[in-house]
Amino acid sequence: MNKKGWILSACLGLLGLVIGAAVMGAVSCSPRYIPPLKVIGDVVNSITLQDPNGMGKLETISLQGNKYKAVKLAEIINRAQPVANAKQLYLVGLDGFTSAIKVDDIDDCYISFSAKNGWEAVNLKHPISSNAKQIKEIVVVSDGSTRDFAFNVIDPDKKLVQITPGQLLARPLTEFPYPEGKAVIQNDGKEYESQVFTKRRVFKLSDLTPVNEGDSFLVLDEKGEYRLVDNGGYFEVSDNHINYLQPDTRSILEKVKGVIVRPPAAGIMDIYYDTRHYLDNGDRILVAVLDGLTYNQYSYAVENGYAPFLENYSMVIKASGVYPPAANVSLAAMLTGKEAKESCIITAGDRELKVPSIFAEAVKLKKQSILLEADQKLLETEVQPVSVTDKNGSGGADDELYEATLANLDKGYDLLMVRFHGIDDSGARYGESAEETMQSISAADEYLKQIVNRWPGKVIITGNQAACTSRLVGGEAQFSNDAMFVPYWRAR
Amino acid sequence: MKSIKKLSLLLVILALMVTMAACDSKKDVPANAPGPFDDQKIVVSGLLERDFEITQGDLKKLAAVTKHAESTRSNGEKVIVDATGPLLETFLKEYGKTQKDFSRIRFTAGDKYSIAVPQEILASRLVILSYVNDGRPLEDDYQPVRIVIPGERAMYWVKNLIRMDFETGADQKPPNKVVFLETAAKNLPQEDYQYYDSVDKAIKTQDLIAEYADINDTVVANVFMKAGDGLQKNETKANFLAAFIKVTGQDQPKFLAPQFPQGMHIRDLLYIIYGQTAIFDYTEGSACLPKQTFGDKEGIAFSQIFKQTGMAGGNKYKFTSADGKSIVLTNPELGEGGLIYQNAEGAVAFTCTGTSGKQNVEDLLSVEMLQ
Repeated sequence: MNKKGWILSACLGLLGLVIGAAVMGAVSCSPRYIPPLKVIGDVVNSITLQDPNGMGKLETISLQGNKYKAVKLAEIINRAQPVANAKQLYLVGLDGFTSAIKVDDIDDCYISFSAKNGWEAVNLKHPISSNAKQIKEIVVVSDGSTRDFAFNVIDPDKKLVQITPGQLLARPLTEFPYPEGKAVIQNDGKEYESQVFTKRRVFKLSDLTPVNEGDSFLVLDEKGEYRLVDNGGYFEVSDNHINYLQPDTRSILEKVKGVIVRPPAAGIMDIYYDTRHYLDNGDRILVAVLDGLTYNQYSYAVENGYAPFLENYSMVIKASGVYPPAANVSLAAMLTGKEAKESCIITAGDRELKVPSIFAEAVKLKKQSILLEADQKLLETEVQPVSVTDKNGSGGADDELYEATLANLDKGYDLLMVRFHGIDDSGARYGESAEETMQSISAADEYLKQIVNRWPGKVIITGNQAACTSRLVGGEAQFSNDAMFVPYWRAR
Repeated sequence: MKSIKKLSLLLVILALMVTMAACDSKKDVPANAPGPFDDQKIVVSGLLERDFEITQGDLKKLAAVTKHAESTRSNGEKVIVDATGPLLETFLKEYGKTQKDFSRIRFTAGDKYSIAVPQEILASRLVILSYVNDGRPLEDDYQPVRIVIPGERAMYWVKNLIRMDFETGADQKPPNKVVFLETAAKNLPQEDYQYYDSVDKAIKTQDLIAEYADINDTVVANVFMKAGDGLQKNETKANFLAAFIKVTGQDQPKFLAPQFPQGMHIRDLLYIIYGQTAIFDYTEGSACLPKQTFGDKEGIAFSQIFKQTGMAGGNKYKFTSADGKSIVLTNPELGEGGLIYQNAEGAVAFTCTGTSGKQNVEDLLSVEMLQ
């Protein structure tokens, strides 16, 4: 071959390469649908896999003569961060075929993707029936021991249900077509309609616990929003959390933390409304907040003789608290009468109220008010609190607060609010039923006796569930009978 | 030679930087900065007597918000956006309206796609008329406005908006009857209600609605209430019908129930809308609405009832008193509209002077639009 021939061959070869590459490129870029694979249930982060190459470290494995490129199931599950005590995995296929395997046994389990079988379980040591094909969901189910992640149902007296999203997904649920809306488009002068629904996996509260005709439920979400509802609505299990749906009104509460069945009528927000009522009425009002005193703790103190004054003072009312049980969230609810969503005090770090507090109401009514407290400033309110310190080094400022309150009783204040902190301090340090904590309750009981006897106006005394559980705020905030109810007195 | 190479390299880098800057020129402009789509028109229908047009430029003059919104498409894909623009509420405020005044609002796109946002969503969601998404002006095919409703599916997020229809018909009709609470309460069983240190009287909402409205109206899902201080609330039908209205003592009329948290109570109630019936408290109205005089009488203009409750205007009205007697008056017979006032006996009354002379209704129970 001469030189020209060589050049021509090389050119043709190059052309072939270019055409070949273009064809291969077109083939490899041809659109193909990869169905999503979701990891849901008792996981911190629900994840959706849609890229076989992006799901983790690919390994080549063999099973019964077939080779697979697959990722360890454990790696995928870990990415979703299962909550403590994950026990079971449900591998749910498109046709409903489901295999359940123990989380402790997944060292030799893999997930592979192929055009033929979609997402496929390749379990090297499990029975072949566990190798589900066309998997659409992996449901992580824990043993339910972590209350903080669970959906909690309580009544004023006891815990009724504690169940996790994963456990709910492992139970029979109703598929409810939730109406989303109707779209219309005009074509050739004609209107074409499309009514849209989404299928939601739902249950009724009565599916979990017996409820009576006419019972009401207080549903609380993780951001402190609440709704008083009946058994007409649905609870939806959505990925790794529970929503409340009311289809008639299209009202949705997202990430529900718990439900109080037959809730008490009273709540800590009543402080705002009761105080406003008395101020409107021309009464003087004293509000004493006992940080850390829960209803159960108070009952224990009374049974053991630590609160003789409170026991005989006036009828105690069991009042609902708020969620999340953080000191500032609870205080904001007391001072504004509004749920966290409205006051914008949702997390432990929030300080600025977005709605007026009872102190603004007092100003509007031309009333004099004072707030006495020893704790660091929890909220920005319309009045600057008088900060009282532990001058005598007794380990707490309640005795100084007591003196300061007595000193201000006759100064003409229409609204005098004082926050005692000793019970909370002792509870956190020694335990909520410890002798030291009971002594703190006893001391507060005596302070209140002296104060109330010298105060000529109306009196409100309340426990504050939030402060006692403030150390649990965050992942450990609890929705429990102990944390959610406080004693409340409205007297004279 | 080396310096030429360096210069070339520098020029290439410079060109790259210019190109990148040009590509990124849409980023981080002030939200209401003038843009090429400022004059693009959107037709607004149902807000005023005649249709009119607004532009993106008009919307840029309104206070804007930025809200994060996420929605899931049917294929599982998430649509996430930080939408900037005025709230629909802000726009409506310019015309003295709110979202809650409409039974639905239909948004139509340039490709004739349209979706009606129902009352349930209007009552509970923010609607953003966005012209900036994720800090950038909208893509050309999304201009001039993209509707974004955080919390609702992307099917409601109409892009390339060309028309907004504000509808008050079909699903929920405006009230055609107003019942005066003071008169109605006298005809209903009243119960003792312990209210702090006093024992006041209260009527059951169930009794009130059963007697004076259509309690079987299946369209009713929510009941709207407004207080004299401007507070507005929607309560579910079930909750509303399980409650009371305290009609004597402090804070009356007050919507309340022993089983409700106090946050759900509404004091100084001005009116309630239950389906097509408005229940109006004259005493509260006279305390918070503009006063009108008619001869030697002072009260509220009849037209205020329409303005407040959104009651539809008509040609003929039936005025009924507590004893069941009624008169029918046409618009000419109403003259300048008439006055609702409190008579010497403390009862609600009506007076007007029109083509048929002076007309009075004592102990006024209701006014119903006939035509």
